Amino acid sequence: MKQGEAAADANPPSGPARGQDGAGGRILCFRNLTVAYGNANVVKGVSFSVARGEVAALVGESGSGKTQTVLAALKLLPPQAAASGSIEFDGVDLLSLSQKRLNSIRGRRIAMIFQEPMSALDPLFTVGDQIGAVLRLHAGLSRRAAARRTLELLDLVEIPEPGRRCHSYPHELSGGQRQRVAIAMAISCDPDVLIADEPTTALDVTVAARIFDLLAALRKSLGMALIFISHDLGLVRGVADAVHVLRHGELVESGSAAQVFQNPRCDYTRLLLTALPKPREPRPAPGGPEVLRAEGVTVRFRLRGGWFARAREIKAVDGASLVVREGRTLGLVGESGSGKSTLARALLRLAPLSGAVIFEGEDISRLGREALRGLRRSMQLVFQDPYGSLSPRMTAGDIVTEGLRVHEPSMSRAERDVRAARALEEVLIDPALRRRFPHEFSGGQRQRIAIARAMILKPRLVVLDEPTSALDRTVQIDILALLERLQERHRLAYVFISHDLAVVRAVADDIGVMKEGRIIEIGNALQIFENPREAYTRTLLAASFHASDI
Amino acid sequence: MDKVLALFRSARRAPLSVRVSLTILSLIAILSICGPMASVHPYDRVYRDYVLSPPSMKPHPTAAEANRALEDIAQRMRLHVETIDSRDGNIRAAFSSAQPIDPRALRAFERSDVFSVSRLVDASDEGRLLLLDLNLKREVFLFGTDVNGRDLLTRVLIAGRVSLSVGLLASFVALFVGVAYGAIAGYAGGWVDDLMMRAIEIVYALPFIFFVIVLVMLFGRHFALIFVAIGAVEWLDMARIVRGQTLSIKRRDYVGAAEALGANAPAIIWRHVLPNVAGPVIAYLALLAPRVILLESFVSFLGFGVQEPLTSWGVLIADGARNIQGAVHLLILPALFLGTTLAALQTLGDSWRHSFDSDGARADGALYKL
Amino acid sequence: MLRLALSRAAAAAPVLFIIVLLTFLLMRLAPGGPFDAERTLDPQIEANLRRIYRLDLPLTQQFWLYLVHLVQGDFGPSFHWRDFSVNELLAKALPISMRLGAEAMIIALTVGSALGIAGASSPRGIGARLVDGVALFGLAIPPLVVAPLLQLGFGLGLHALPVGGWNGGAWRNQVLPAMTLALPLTAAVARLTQAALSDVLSMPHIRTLRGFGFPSWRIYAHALRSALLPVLSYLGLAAANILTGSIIIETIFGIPGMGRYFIDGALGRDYTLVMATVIIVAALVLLFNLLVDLTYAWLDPRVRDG
Repeated sequence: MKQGEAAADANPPSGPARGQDGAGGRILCFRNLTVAYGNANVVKGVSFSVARGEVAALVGESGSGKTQTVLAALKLLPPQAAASGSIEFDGVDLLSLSQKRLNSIRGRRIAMIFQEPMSALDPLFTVGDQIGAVLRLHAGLSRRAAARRTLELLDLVEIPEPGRRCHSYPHELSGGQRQRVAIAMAISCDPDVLIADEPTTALDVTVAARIFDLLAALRKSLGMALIFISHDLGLVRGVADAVHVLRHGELVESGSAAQVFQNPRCDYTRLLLTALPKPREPRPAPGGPEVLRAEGVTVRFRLRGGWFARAREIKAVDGASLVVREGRTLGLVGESGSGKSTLARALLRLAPLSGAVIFEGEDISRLGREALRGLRRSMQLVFQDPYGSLSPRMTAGDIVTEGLRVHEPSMSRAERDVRAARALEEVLIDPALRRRFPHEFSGGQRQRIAIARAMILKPRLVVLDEPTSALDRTVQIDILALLERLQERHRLAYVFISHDLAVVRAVADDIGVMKEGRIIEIGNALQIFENPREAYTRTLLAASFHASDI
Repeated sequence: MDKVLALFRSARRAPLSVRVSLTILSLIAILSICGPMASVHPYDRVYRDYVLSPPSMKPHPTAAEANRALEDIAQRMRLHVETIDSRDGNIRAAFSSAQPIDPRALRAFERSDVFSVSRLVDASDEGRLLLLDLNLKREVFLFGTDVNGRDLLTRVLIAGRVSLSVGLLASFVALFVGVAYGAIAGYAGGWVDDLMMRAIEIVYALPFIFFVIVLVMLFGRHFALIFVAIGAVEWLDMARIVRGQTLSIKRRDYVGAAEALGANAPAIIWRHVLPNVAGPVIAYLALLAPRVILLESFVSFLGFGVQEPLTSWGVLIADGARNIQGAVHLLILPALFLGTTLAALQTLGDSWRHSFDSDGARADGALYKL
Repeated sequence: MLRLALSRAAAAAPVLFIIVLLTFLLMRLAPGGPFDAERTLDPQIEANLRRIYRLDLPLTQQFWLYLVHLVQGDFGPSFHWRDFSVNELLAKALPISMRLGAEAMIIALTVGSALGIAGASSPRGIGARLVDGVALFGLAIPPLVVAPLLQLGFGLGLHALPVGGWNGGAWRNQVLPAMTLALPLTAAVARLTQAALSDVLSMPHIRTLRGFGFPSWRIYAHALRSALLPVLSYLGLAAANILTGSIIIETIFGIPGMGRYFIDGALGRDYTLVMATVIIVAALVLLFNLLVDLTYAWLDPRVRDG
């Protein structure tokens, strides 16, 4: 049987899938795997096994050690990391294998798809060359045969016009297409095990859904075992045969999908399962005064031409109109490039715009810089990336009180310090930590600091640009709760931008759907979720709640 | 005060190479500043009797040097040396002459670099035969002397002053001009940035030594000109680095947040841009200083820089290169000082730069992670 | 690609023009004339000289005439060597400097990149230490120290190689100068290659290659292409450094190249000669940068597409 398998490896996959004959037998076995960086263990004695043809989901939040576990299997850990224990593949221990024998397994019998499709491909070579190189190495194909096979593979992963696309460089492809190329490369030698490390996380929801479907379909037709790594337990429901949950490097739960989803043994798993934020209770119809009204807001960017290239103009936002009332939240949803962040900046006059923006009854779209400066304290902005939005060289206290330095320059240092402590307290951060620098805080804490910075000026309107997208689900829920409490206490108007419909559903009273710079649909949240008018909204909804129950 | 203490504390945690480099640099700096003052030999004092003496711990004059000096002086005064009798540091010599000798003329011995006191012990034959007691001076030339008989140690140290201060001052010129220029160009962006960068490109196309020499050629050889000329060309890289950093910082969300808070451009540059470019700037400064010192030595080597009797390492090395056949120490010793300084600065700069590359976001105010 | 070449060339032209204008103005506005050295010059003779060298015309006209001649490749008569034109002087000097520079560049690229690869392949081992050593050595012991030491060792000590002179370009005369010129450059290339290669080797796309079981030598070969890019962009700067270094080397070894003429010109206030050297050097640096940019674009498709 071993012989037959080796022969099957050498040939391109055709005919009946191989997974069936060996079904049930263990193909990959992690035994007491520990990965250490110096004294810190990031994976602590993890044991589980994967059967032939099985879909195993490895689930955990960031820092749980899930990626490190699979990297250890292919000995791809960075040199400063040390792996101990054993990882048995088809009877041999991968950890103690010679480089040469390991190389005959890598890519050929175990293949991997990485999270970042951009950086996982070499920017200097065409995608055809990169897939062809793998085929020539492992399947021993000639240059010509490899080129032919590359086209078939690109077709298999549903890339349009494979004949043209195989001469493209990675930067000429979209994110989804790049990930398809990575998949084509991974399945090129018909591996026994395919490891997919968050293959859809870096992609837009609709694209991610299609990639996810493709992977599932390919696995079914090729019959290989699939290890699917994800931070989202909901995502793997319905596809996974077995689920392994990791937390802080330890395996906290391991079992069949049915058991884990129906009857989780571990509290943490239960937390992950319920980690989808709850939809917001519908609130009484708007009665409060308008805080912000936008009419026909358009943002144009000019792409500068060179000596021999003409300048072009693109509309990032095209005629957007919306209203936000006191104490209410408007959710803006859309995929990357839909113009939602640009619109948010335009509403605050941080991007050049045409059209009208009426803030508290005053048209601010023509105001001069000085006049705007006074208004800035009433309208604030919170960013997505809690690592990039805090200056690494300022203390938490200085960051939080920056607005006071701008708007109340006469305030003494001591008084600012008192205000910093109070502001941090309001976002549930120990005021004693205000002398620390951002890198000493966790992601969630940093986002709280960013929120405190926006709140210290007692604004009327806060624009939240994907404030929870860089955070783990469990942390997201805390941040959302904090935002809701602040809104109720200060009667704040929110514009909440997100690509994540589950989050938007949890906060928004009204929702605007953006596509290619336009607001294509806007209205009551409940109505949009229950009864979307536009086809695009329906696709977006379907993709967002893919495989997980609503 | 806290910050100073933190600096010292973090210096103790620095890697060995950084600590060694810092120690060497401080040592050379202290020696260069204090050494010439403490030295018994002024840097421009010419010891005509000790031209090109090799480095040695032994005091001069040696017996042979004393005898030679004695005979030289005697010859100049048309005296004939009858006997020389040297015992521990003193010489008793007898001279004869055709005419009576004026004892005042014997002061010539005291004016030399070899003898300190001369005492007439006995005069006979109506002053035609003199017996003199001569005390020998004791001069130590640790590094030997140069072609003109000047103490090389003092000269190397005084040269260190010049080279280090050129390095320091020109680096600071480059720092201020470069950081201001780069930050403004980067933050302003658009056509302002375009114009400012095009200007840099023009100066860039001229290798800097050409520029320096043309300036020196046009405006004469003046010490201050070296600072200006070197500083004026060396800010270009700094400006480019700062501009690049500023461009990337400008896109960071914390600058966006500051804009949303209503902070104006100077405040943003001061509070956000400058602190965050400080790291690369300081690392580059440590790499710029050796380049400036090297450039100064180039210019001085070619004779366009510091003028005699003042000196710099480049001038000394040029002297050494000219006398390579007879006196290697004239080249080796200044080169050693120059090389050690350059290596220490380079090591320092590399280590700082490395800590930014690997961990740009960290900021704990540590010295080597500034 | 052609469009890129054209636009880069078009951008370089005004830079060169401004350099010509600046050097011209600097030379003419400087205190002291070219004939000041010869103190007791008869006013009649000086007036004659000024007319011959067209110094009696208005500045704009002088510049225009200079430009017209320059475009035709004529740098005018030398102020110092009265019987020669600058072109005649530089026709002999330029090839010598270029040859030395090219040799140094080749040495630096081959030795430096070999060292760099060795360094990157053993980041904590002997290779990296070697690179560190060479790098520190190359910087701490500048050419103005290395050159006399080499002269002492090989020339005066071993009598193996001549200590100076050009001797019509005999190879024995080229060894020491080329080595001296190459040393700092080799150090820089070694460090740069090491840093770039280590960088590339830790990138995700190299991890992909390892994950697909490619043997190490193929991974290195692959990474080298990306690692070449930063080294390449350094070469523009290196060209300028070589020209700077050649001034020192030509002085120490007594080689009649551009650097020597530049120094002599500067000392003798030979304005046309100095201008010519500055303009040629600037043009060479610009040209080299242009070539580097184009090669970069050729190697990196992202740059090619703009």
